[in-house]
This record gives sequence, C-alpha cells and structure tokens, in this order.
Amino acid sequence: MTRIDSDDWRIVTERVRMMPQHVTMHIGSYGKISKQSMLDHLEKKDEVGKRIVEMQLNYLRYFSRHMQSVANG
Amino acid sequence: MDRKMLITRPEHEEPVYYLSRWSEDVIRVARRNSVKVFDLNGGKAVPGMLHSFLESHNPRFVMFNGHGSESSITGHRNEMLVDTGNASSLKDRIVYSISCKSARKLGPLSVRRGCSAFIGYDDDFIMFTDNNKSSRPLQDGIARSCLEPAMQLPVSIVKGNTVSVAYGASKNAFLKKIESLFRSKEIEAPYILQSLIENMENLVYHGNGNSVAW
Repeated sequence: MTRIDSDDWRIVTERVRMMPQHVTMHIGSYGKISKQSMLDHLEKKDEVGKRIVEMQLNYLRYFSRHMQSVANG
Repeated sequence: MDRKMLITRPEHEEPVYYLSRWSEDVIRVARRNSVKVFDLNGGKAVPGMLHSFLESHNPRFVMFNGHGSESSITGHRNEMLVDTGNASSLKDRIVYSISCKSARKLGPLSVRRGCSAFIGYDDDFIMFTDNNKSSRPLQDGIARSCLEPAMQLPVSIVKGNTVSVAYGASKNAFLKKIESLFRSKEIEAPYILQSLIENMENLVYHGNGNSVAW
C-alpha cells in the first residue's frame, strides 16, 4: 500500500478537477465513477479515493521514469 | 487438437457491456482462424450454461469478461461462474480473464488444479470511457485506447501463439500505446494513461508459458 500524504491528496484532487467532464472512470470492483464522484471520494479520503490517488501517483512515477529515460537517451 | 474456444460476455451494466462489445473482434479473428466459438453472451453467461458447455464441448481456450475478485469470476448479473470450489473445471485449458484481481488467488489455484495457463489481472481492471458514447462502445475512442492492448492477448492466442508470446504481444501493445499517448496533446491522454499503466503492470500469467491453444 502506497503511503499517501496530504500533498498527494491535494495534487490528485487538482488533477481530477482538470479532468474533462465527458470522461468517466471505471474501477472494476468499485464500478462507474463520474468526475464529481471521484472528487467526492477524494474529499472523504475513503477506499475509492485512496485507489484514485494510488493510480495517479503510479502514473506520475511512470511518467517521471519515462522522462528520465528519454533524457538519458 | 480441437480448435474450440468459449467466451463469456455479460452485458448487464456499462463496464461489462463495453468489454462484451470490444471482444467481438476476438470472436471474428477466432472464426477467421477456423475456431469454433461458444459465445455465452448476455443472459447466457450463467454458471449452468458455462459448466454444461465446458463439459460437453471441452473448449481448450476460455475467455472471461466480467467482474471478479481474488478468488472468483462472475457473469450475468454478477452470478458466480468460477471460484476456488470449482476451479478444477479449468483443467487442461488456457484461460484469459478480464476481471479484477482474479489472477491473484484464483489463477495460481487453477494452475495447481491442472489449468495449463491462467492469464489475468492481479489488481483492479481500470478503464476510462466517454459519457457521450456509452450506448455506442465501439465508437468510444477513449475506451478503444484502454481496451485494445488487453484484447491483443486473446487475438494472439486464437492465432495459435504460445501464452508467453501472446502475453508479450499484449505488453508490447500496452507500451506502444503508452509511448504514443505520452507524445499526445489529447486532453484525455493523462487519464487513459493511468488505465494503461495500471492494467499493463497488473497483467500476469500463471502456468506453462509454452502452452498453445491449438
């Protein structure tokens, strides 16, 4: 389980706020989650909110590794 | 070896309806490759039908679309299809399960009970879709990006490739899509990327990588 600090919650919430309205997320075991519902889960900091944060952090880590490998040629 | 596959395609709610529609291409490719397809679509994706078809037709390749947990896969209206109690029904078969977490416990258990190879996801299967296209999943470009790499795997299996080759083909398809989206200016790209990275990292197989369906 990834450790999530208050900055992580804030950053992910801001990123979700920027998500286009027509995009919907489906997390298998939690079902269909609209943008507003994602924001609600993040505000409550519940299980779904944690899963959303983990996904975003995983994406940002992957992106950072990718940029490093591009920079290193 | 008989060229027979069975596929479950429940459609009772949006995410499984998307998987069902995006699996149609797998069925088309299978039929083009002279594979007899037993298609348990919609209300047919229930335990009675599944186990009856497994026993009477003995398909070598089985593809599940549906919800799941660490120890189960479900079908129409989330009825339990396979769990730890009947995992031996997957004996001598190659299984691909697009369902959450089923590769975590059900996968290794099925292999211990004789399944040739179980390919699936160790954690939640994640997908993004376009609200405006929910009644027309095949026209949903966001879903296309999320699902095409996952569908690459069964396409490779029905063409007669080994499990490890099919697994590699799918991982490569994920990577290729991820690379192209990193360069994309589409506003949806950062969200689609989350799904691709999660699903790619959680895709695993248990059992014999040299198994072939036929």
